[in-house]
Amino acid sequence: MTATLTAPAPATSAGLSHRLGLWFAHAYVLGMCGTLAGAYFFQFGLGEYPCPMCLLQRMFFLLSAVGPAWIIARSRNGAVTTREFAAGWGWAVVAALIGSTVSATQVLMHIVPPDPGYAGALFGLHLYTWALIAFLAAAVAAGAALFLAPEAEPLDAGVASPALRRASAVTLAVLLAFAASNLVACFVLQGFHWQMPGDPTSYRLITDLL
Amino acid sequence: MYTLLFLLIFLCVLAVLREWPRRFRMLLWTGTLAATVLAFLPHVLDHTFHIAL
Repeated sequence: MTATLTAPAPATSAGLSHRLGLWFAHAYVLGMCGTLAGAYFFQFGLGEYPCPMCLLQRMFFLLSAVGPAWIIARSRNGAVTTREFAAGWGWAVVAALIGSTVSATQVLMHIVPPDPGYAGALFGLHLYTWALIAFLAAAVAAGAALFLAPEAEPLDAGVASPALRRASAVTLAVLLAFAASNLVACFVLQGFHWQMPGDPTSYRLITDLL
Repeated sequence: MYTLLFLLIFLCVLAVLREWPRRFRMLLWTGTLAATVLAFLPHVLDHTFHIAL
């Protein structure tokens, strides 16, 4: 009498929940970019200069988006493994939690009266307070994606769905655009100086050249 | 210094888009995260928070 051992076949066909899981990664990356767009509005629309702590928070928004962006990029070439899915979202959680520490530090820096806080406010809260809320929400969202991995891992949704395939090009291009524009904006703000004042009042590259 | 950190982050995004080898990509990501944390630390250490804990 012989026993036949058969390993369960890996699930590779992406159902609705798996497609939604990949859409969620898109929403996460675009949400991070949207937050940075809000910061751009304050910088270029309202003429406020970002401080070093503000720049650090922008960095962690970008870094947090890199993990899910990798899941999206990976999904274009075939089935995403659970290991890759977990690594991407785990990275997002780590970066978001460190980012929230930066935001909380800036909140504490300005929390003692009569400190008026740094720069303008949106609906009564300064941008670094909104950043703290955004980072914590992002960490919860990324943690939820990990928790729901059996349902939310994309499997082959990236290649099976034409809409997701098209969206991946757009989402990744948007992230690249925000990474590049932040690089340029920071260079113009800081110029060739190693240090940056805590309360910048000009774009130093321009003032140095003129 | 901050410009260099943004340059590293830009490279991290490029590594995602170009799908660079896993080992190199993870090294770049981790190094960038560590460098960004190091850039943040002086802001905490040098600041007096005026809070009695």
